[in-house]
Amino acid sequence: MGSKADKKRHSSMRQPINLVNFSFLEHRATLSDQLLTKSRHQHSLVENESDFWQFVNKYESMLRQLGQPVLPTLLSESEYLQPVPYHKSKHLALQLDEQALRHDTRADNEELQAQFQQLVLIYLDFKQKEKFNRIKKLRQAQRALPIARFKDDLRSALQATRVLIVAGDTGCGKSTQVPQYLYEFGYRSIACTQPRRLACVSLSKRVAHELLDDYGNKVGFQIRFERNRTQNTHILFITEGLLLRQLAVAPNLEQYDVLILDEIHERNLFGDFLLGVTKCLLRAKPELKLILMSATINVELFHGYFKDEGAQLLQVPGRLFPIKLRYMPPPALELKAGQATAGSSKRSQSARLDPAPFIQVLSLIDQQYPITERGDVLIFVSGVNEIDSICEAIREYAKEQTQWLVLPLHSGLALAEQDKVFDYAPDGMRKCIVSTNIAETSLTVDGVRFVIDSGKVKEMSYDASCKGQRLKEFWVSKSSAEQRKGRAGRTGPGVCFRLFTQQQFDAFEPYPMPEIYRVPLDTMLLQMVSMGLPDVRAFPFIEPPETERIEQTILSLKQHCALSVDEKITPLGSSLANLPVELPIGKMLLMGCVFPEVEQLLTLAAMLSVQNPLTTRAHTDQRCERERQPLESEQGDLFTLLRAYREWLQLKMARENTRKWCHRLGIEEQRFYEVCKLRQQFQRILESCRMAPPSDAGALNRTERARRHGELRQLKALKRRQRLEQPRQRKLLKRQHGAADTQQEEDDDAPDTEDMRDVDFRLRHDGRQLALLARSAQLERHRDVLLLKLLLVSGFYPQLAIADEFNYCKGGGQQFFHTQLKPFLSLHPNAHFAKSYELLKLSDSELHAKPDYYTPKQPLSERHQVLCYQSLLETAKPYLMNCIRLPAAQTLLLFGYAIDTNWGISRIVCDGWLALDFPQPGSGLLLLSRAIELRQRWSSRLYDKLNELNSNEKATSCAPPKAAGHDHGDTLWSDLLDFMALDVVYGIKRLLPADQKTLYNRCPPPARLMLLPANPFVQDYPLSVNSEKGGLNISEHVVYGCLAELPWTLAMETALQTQLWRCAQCDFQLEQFDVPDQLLHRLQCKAQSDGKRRQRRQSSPDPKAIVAASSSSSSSRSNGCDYHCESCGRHLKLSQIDILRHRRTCVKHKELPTKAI
Amino acid sequence: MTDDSLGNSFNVAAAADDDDDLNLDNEAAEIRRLQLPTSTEPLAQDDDERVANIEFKCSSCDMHEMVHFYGRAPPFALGVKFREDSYVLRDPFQAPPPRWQSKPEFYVSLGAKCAICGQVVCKDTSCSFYYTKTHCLPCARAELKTWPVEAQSRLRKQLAAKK
Repeated sequence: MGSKADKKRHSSMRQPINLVNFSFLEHRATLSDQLLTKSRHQHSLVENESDFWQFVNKYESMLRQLGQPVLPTLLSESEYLQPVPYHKSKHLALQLDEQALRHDTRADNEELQAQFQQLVLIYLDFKQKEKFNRIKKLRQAQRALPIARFKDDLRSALQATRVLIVAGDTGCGKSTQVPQYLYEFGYRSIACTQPRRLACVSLSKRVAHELLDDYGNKVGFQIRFERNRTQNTHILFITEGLLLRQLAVAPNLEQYDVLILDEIHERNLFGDFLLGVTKCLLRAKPELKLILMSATINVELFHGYFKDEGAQLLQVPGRLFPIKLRYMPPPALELKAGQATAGSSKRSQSARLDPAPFIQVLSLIDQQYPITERGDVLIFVSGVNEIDSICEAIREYAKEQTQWLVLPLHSGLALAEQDKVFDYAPDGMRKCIVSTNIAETSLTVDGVRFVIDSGKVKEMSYDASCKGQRLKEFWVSKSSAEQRKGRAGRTGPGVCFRLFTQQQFDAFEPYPMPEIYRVPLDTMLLQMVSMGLPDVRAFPFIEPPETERIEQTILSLKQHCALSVDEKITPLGSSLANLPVELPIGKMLLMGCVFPEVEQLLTLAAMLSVQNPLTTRAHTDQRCERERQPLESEQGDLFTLLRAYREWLQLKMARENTRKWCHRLGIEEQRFYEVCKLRQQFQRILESCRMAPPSDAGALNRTERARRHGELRQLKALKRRQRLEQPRQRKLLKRQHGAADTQQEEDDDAPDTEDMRDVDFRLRHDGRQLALLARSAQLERHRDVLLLKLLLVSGFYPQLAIADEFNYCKGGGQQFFHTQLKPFLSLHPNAHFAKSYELLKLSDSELHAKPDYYTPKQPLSERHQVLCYQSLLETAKPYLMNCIRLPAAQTLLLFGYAIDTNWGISRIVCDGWLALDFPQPGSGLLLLSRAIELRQRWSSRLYDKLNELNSNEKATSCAPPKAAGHDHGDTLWSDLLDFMALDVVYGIKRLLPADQKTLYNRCPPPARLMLLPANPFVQDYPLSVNSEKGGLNISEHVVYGCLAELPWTLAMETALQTQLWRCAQCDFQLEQFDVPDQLLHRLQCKAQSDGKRRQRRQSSPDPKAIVAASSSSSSSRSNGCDYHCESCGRHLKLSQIDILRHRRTCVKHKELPTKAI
Repeated sequence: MTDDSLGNSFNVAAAADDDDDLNLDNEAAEIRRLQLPTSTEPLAQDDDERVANIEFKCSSCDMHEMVHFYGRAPPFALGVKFREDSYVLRDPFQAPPPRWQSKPEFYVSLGAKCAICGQVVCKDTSCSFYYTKTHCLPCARAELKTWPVEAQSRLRKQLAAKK
């Protein structure tokens, strides 16, 4: 140190630097070296060198301007500690650590070097002040929040009680501050739930920032596809759904000492569920503290609900400026609405919103408020279509009144688009944000001075009577209208224009309807049972749903085999509760786990679980329609989407720009990313509960690995850069020049902003994995399509619909369909089947001649179809959504809950609403017995697997339980395919309630059947008399002989009296064609031929086909007929049996989809 | 980013570490977490030193923060030391260096003890004044007369701005 101090003293004698003829900038190249430290890595003393040089420049010119261009000579170390003489450097608390610095020994000008170091210090000191002030400012802002004054109240309340309700309007700071206060009070394991994923992420970022822990992990979040949490995380923002899942795994949530439920006033399903669960949890976990946070909406409800727990209420006033209220109902609203409906013929245009009243308010604002007074506009409408039409109108208006900037806002927008609403409007301009109710409570935009409220909201409601959903526009509730109004007074006094009358407002409901009344309850109830709740009816709902709906839901859970008869959870049920999807999709996944190609199933399930990837533009823009044309599948929209998804993956593999491609086709790319993530999640869950074998995409080879390595490095650098970027700052908005720009902008944005979703995606998937994904979306083979359809139905049954009998003579607009619960539904106009409705009709060539005894009027065919729909949605009309088509009889027999037959099995009724007539002798028996057998095999396979898993859950089994699936697994699936392809002629009819009365004979079986020694259909199932309907229970789902005979079935029986019946297995013959006798023989025959059967199944064509053949060949009419094979295109003259044979070989060789599927 | 050094083969392991850092595989972890009870062992030792556990409380305003270091030469500050014992925070607005690099990072000094009365004061201009050492404003006012005029006028300016 001593020698350095000497050096300094020397330097004071050197020539001083005068900035008039000198600048450090001229020596930038040599001086830059001095900014580096001595250490191996050569770090820089300053964070940002260019920033430093800018500072130098400013500092120099400042000194020149002040007339102090001569840099004062530097002080010695000892002088420095004395107050005199004065030197500016005495205000610097920092000094350079000489040891760490590099000294340029060659330096010819020591003064220069020393002064430069001084300059560095000044810069560093300046930076220190900057950073310090940043922290200080942050703290000031926090202290200014309304909640800050209640911090001590919060502390004392928490000492006094376990349940605290914090009621405060948005903007009071409760969501960001309360978790921090708790941390400060010493709680170290704080969970805070949020209804929305996005809120979890942004809140965790914000709170981490305020805790000065932006880059640490004190604060984390956990949402469906992403987690950012370590052992050091003390505050966790988590979605409601995910916390519920944690509860299901660890019922007492040992990991948390405080639970904050935020936004409980929203009253969504999970929130309500959590309230009940936490009420129970408080009893089980005496140390847990619970904080409920809500807007000041219906606070008394929550307070009362936790009264017994001694809940305290903390009311935090929001910051609100006075708001002027103006009711401005549009004149002659009814008249206009009437005209609109009368004049428009095309879809959805009828309900189009009239933008005129909104424009009138804008022009009123233009007239009454000078543009020099700042203030933006927030418009509330009910939905995306409404937003679009209003935006369009305002853009038109803004061509003359150029001060308006239009910004749409709804949850479907990309994040970057949403962020724009936070940007500033340039001087002399106003933002006009057109929003759904997203901006009502969940999203806060500052600077709004005017609110225009349409008073409308679109809400989903649930119709339990038809198990369908309804999307309808309603008037908002009073509390929502007040929330909307409040948005005008956050930054200053404001005005709220209500486009309805005071009288209308007075008639509004006080609060919005809680979600629990508006959605199906099955997933929630199942989760309750799987959490160990003995009786869901006793659950302490804050506001319970109707008892009847609970009962209905329990019944349907039983039908899905998720609950047992005594309402205990079944193995299937507990596996279902583990899957974070709608019940049918979960069931489909589990049913399909015994399916050899799980990969495809996973993709399908993921595709079904995301929102429809097609945007509204996809159907309105002709170009999009044209681009998608080649991908259209005759199998329905789901399969079209899968093709598009596959194409997308292939583009990814070719490293092409998929964002543009998606835009061209009208696809919301985000959905496809979600499909990939969901698929992976399903895979993991199924793997982890060992329902599926681990997926193996194959290892990369050497060159692939090398290439991948490089790619990964590049991607990670991008990712890191993005992550470390400063959080997005509010920007100044650009002026808009008419409607066309928005489109333009979207394309322009693309190149300069790196597509982070693409980067993420590529990071996660190497080439092999991509190829596997693409393979799993490949569904061109007929058998794959058919199998997946079967799996779909296995999940979605009983969601079937049948075409109206008069559809054949009507056009596209009048095609109606019926479900069991609701008649006269339409296909959604955007659906492929709505456009190509002929696919659902029987063509003339598919109709069969009727035997004489068959008198009913319905057509006979082998090609009847049913639709399986994913959901039922009522908007303008009730629509069936996402349909697939399937062979009717086979599907019904495989999945029906209650299958009833007559004695001759010429008539079968499924679930009491669809009647199948089999006028060809033996065909009913054939189809039914095969269906029973397949069903039995399938479910026993599934249950074996589930039981096996449940029993050795704890035992460490090293071998994956795969063996069972393989030995006869493959024949199950090929047998199922054979079954679906069986050509049986039948008629199908929808039964009406009136038919039910005479449906059953309610008679005990005839004596000779009572003599049956065993069950001829299912070996181990004990026969019993069905006392309600009559007949015999022959399997879990089938009652034999309970249907009353009809004139035609009796006539058929008489006709058959004259015919012989020969057993296909042996030489046994019956004089008369009599089904009960056939069954009797079946038992004897089975006993001797059981051994042979299996062998034969593999080598020769199916024995059942022979039964069909022998029975039909014994009937006079079908010895040979004209047959046109669709797969090979030949016309053949074949007997029934040969047609079957031909079809099988032909299908096997070609694997082409035939129209019938 | 000094990622250029990644070029050599030694850094393959480091790159894997980075992987972890980016939470690429968090879904698997999440599922594991849902299945198993969490192990409560601390993740790593080196994370401890990143926890701020020295209390800093300004006696003049209500500024109250936890800092990482009290003293003159914070081990994490680069090429710089303080002229007096200071309360120093790792710069919360800068990304920490990647885990495998022992790179010094940046820092913020929040305050120090008044050289005269020993009270802790923050750097805010309404709480302290620095001239050769930190003074709380009351002490600075008392000390004022012993300083050169330039220092006096600077303090006066600051006091005036406070009002």
